Amino acid sequence: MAGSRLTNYLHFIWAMTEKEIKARYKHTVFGFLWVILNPVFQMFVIGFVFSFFVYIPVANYYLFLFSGLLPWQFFSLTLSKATPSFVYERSLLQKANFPREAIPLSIVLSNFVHFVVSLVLLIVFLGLSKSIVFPQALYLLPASILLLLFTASVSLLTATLQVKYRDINFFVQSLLILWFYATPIVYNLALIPSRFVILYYFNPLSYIFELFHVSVLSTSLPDIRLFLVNIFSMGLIILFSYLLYKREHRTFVDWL
Amino acid sequence: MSNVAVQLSHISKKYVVHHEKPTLVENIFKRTTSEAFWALRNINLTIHKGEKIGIIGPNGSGKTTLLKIIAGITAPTTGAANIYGRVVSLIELKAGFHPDLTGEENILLNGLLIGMSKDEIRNKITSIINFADIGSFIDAPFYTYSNGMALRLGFSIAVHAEPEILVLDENMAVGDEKFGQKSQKKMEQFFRQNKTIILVSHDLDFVKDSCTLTILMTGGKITKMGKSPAIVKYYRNTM
Repeated sequence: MAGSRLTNYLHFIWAMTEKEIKARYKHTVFGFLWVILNPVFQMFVIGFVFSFFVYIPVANYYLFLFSGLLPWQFFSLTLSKATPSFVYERSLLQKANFPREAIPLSIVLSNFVHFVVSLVLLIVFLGLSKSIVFPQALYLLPASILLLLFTASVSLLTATLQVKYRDINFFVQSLLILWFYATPIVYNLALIPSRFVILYYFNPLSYIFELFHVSVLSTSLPDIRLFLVNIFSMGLIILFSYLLYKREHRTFVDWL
Repeated sequence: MSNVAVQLSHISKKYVVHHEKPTLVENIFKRTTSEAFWALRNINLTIHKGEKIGIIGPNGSGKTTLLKIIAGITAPTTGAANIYGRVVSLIELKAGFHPDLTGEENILLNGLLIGMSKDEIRNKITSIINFADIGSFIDAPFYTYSNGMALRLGFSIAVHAEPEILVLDENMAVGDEKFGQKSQKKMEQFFRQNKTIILVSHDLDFVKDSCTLTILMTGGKITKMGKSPAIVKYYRNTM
């Protein structure tokens, strides 16, 4: 019984995710091809803009950029879409008693599928240009998993808060702009004066993005203490969002 | 305990009513005024399996809130609600469909949403489609559906979920006359079976004829509960 309940739960989460993915490409000529076309196009535009207009002294800057911008795209797009998701799906919440977390989680997972596709493209590209390095390339796996976990819990947190406090969505939009520059995405920590590096300990995304950079360019990993501090604060955020969601989700409908 | 379907003990439900202020300045500098509104006060109720319960009472007496708690859509502020068996509500029938997905894709999604398993939906999908009388629209996107078709599909999925506890708010008119009769028949079938049915209605004659027990609610409390004819008669006299 417990086993079948779990399979039903997973089926449900996956069906919701599938809905997100399918609905996005319905009535398009290229259909699922957009999953690949979009990130490729994005890569060229981003690469063009940053390599011509912004100069940052990093070897293989093009590759370096992709390795930071692809995960950032995943994180920021997911967070902006998931935050108002409970409010948008109010009629669904009023209909039945189902696991409510499926609403933001389906957005997280559908974007993660897109992210993984673009990551695979990046790896293929690396392989073709013979610039793939082992074992550093394997860092992509833990980096992606940590990013998925963090994105899921922050999305659940902001979506939960948005039900009662509708300012959260605007706050998230502003926060994402700041967060973009406060995270080593288009630069890396080696370029930061050492007295400022301490600030990056407050950003749980710092180490994850450094991992993404390293896995592609095999530069050196930052201080292990940064990892420990980041993991610890991530853990706190995950715990907090879970507890808050658990307390609030049963009465979401009262605010919608 | 095994023949109990719904057990509510000391249920109260508080809503916080916010009074909106017109400007941002007032919002920041004046204290927000909000007041508590108790929609339900200390409700104790045991519903046995197979009982047909009608809930009547004036507007604002807490009928719908009680229904929402039984359906698990919201939670009580205090007290405990224990529900034994699959609850399906025939409210918001048109919700949970994605306009861009086909009828078939939507059936899977909607079925999972109300608690069916994937296998269950696969086995019943032909029957669901036939009952809803969707015809060739089944592989067309949902936005091409008429209002009636959407309602019919929602109703068809809900009844195929084979609920043990069925929750109804008001009398729903589903689609045209033909489908109205069909759904009426299905409902009558449910009433004959050993299913627990809880319905809120202002149609007193319907409640009197179809429900074994009736609950009269006023001001968030259960004022009276008993055999339907007696309660309906009492309510009519005191109105």
